[in-house]
Amino acid sequence: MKVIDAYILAATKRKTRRIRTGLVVVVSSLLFAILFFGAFVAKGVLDASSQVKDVGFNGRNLVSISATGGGASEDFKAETDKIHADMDAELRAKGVKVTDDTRQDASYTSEFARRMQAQSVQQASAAQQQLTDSVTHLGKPTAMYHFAPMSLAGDAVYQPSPQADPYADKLKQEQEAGGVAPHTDPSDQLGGFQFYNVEQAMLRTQLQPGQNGAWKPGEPYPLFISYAYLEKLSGRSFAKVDAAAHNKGYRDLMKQYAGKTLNYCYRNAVAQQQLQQVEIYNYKAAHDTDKATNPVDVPLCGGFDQALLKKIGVISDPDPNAPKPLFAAPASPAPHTQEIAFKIVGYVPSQSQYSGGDIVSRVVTDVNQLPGNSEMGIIPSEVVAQDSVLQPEPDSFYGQFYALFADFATRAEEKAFIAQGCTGNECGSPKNTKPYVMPFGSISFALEKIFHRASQFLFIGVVGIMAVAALLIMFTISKVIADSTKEIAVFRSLGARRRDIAEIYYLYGLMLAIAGLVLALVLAIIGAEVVTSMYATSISNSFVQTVGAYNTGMHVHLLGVRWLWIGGAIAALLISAFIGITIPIIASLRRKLITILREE
Amino acid sequence: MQNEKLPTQTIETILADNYQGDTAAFLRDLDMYVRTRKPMPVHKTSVPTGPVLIDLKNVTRTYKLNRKNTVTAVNNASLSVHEGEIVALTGPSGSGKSTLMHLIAGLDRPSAGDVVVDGRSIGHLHEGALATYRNQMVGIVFQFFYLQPFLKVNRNIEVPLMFARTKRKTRLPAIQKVVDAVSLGDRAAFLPKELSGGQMQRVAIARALVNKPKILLADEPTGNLDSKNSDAIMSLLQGIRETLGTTMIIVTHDPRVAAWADRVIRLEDGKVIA
Repeated sequence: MKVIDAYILAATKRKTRRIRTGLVVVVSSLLFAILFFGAFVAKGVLDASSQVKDVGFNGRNLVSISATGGGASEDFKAETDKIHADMDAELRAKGVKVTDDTRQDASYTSEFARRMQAQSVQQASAAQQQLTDSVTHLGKPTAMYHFAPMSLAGDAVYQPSPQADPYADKLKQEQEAGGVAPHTDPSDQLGGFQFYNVEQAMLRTQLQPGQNGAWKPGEPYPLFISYAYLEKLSGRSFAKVDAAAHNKGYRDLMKQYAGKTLNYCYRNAVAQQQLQQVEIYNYKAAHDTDKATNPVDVPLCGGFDQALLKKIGVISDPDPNAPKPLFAAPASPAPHTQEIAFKIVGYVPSQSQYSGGDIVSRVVTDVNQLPGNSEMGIIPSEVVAQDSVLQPEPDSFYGQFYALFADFATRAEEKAFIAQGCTGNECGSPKNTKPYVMPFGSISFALEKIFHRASQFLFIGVVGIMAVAALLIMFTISKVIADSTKEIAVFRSLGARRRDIAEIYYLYGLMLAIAGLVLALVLAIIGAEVVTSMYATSISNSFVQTVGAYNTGMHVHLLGVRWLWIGGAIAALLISAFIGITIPIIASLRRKLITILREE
Repeated sequence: MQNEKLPTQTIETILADNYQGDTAAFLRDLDMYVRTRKPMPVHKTSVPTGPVLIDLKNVTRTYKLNRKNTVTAVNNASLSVHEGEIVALTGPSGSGKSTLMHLIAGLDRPSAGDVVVDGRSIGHLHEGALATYRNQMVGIVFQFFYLQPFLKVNRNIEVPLMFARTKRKTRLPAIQKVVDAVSLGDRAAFLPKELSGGQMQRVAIARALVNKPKILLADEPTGNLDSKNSDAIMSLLQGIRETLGTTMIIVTHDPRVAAWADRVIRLEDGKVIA
């Protein structure tokens, strides 16, 4: 029979048992809609997590590498003994009698420390070189980044707002208490002198391809600042507002500060020390009203008049009458300051949450333990190399300490490289020679894993729903067609062949199935859109804050189409419809025509 | 009484067949009949002159009720129907008249014997050929019409043409012709539920005739109609026989209907007795 005729006969069936058939279609569509909704949202979430990964880490396949184990301290005693022996030999050569007391001499211990440090620097450099070599050998990074720490201190431009200034409060309290200065010890830096320095986490320069190309000498360095620092800059606090206002506040600030330039003052250790001394002197001068001492002007960025510092006693010439030390200390470098401009290009939630920040923060913490290095940031060595002024102190151990990052073209290469690193306890073993490799985007990796696992569970649920929906469709279509037994018999008595009957009822079943499918798709898309409109903003904000998505314009959309699932659902629908149609058709074709026709 | 073509039924058989032995009901009806009766019309019939079209040769049809019991619906029946003849099959319920009709219609196959229609043994046709036979050779009219409730009259009539894969162009004149033949020209765009019983049966007749079959088979065609409509339908069928020359076999237990036939064949217990 012609398809159009089959359609006419099939289409007329939709008018029979309209309510029941309609109900069946709606119910099974709802089940399929749940299925499709699940598929859409699951795919949307997966897309979002990968979006977060890309946005948060600029789509880079970046790992940080550090040396582990290697037995650096294995022969620690032998090393120290050797240094002691060398130093003792030098003294004996000069005719100094070496006793146990000799090693307690200040210049002796200082020299010992310097030699130990030099040795460590040497070892660190060797380890770093070994790392570089192994990275080149093991993987194929597209680029390598060496991060060299340097000390930065004395933010001369940024002045915190009064409410964010703990020292201002302290001063106020002191004044209210009758002008009694509680901190009489000028060396109590934490209590009496707080410098408003550059935020540690701010000075993490963007890891971007062509970062050196992006930065040109004389132009501001790209800079990421933390949300907390944004609050400081603006003099606002979002501590006591709800999450939505919190997020909105950050977004507004990000817009406000994007692209702004911040100026910082770089001081080398000597300059930094002098600044602290001057601040102590000024504090004393301000509180000691009896003496006619005048505070020294502190320039925004720049050195002090060395003669003035000598005059007020901040620095002094060495005493010519002092006894000659056993070991002469190396001459201090001249104080040096320089203004450096940074341009705000992005934001990090906080140092600890910033993926890959562990190494950075470890370095920062270590460096901060050194006197005079209370604050520091990290500048890529490429940048350092291009600006000789920013060359790390040559004799500084930490100046020689580089964090190494390798960048891979593909995730596969990155994963292969990570697999070659050490894992677990192995890393700490003295015999370990493998580098410790940490994916830069560890949070997004974790997210991705979680979503992958979640999608597996979801898939099981989806298969369950699919089976139920398929069975439902099968039975209902089956019932509808079983009700048509008499009709089939009439058609056959009018000369319909079995094939004609099959055509009519398969077409009818197909129409039901397609109606259900379309309804299900529409419901699922509407559902996914509704969920997106309800939750996308908060999800986006959460991602921005927890994962550290730099791109502040990111928005999650929870409508993702997973073609495999949809294809599976459609196949299940069609197969179940096919079975549901075939069984009753065969059943009614097997029955004797006249027994059917006689029933009434 | 001599005007009437009396059915070959005795009062006993009528009582048994139609009243299940309820004599009071029979007498009441008889009384009513005598009071109101008009002379039964004598229907002018043409003498069958054509060759034998349907030839049943010792046809037997048995059904298995269950493993042990079988029922013989048609028992060694032989019968010849000539082309253009109108034959009424009568008999009590369960006498096998419907089964006989279904055998001729190709809706059923004989257990033994042979049904030869137009020189072809249809008992041995395969399923597809049988479907074509039902579509082309016979038209079947049922007691309950079996129209498609949501198809309009002309669409209902078109259904056999659909199964015949008739070209669209030729369908319209064919439908028009049968619609005119059953005088339903003004009801072509109606749905079955908008028609009376008599009109529905006329639609069913038009549907049965649309493929120009040689044989029209009717299973209690007036069973659901009143006597006025019954006469109208039978008159219509006779008119169709005259214009189209269609051979007709009508299963009925109504003597008024049987009276329209050229020949009445009576079955009892599956056997042709007259």
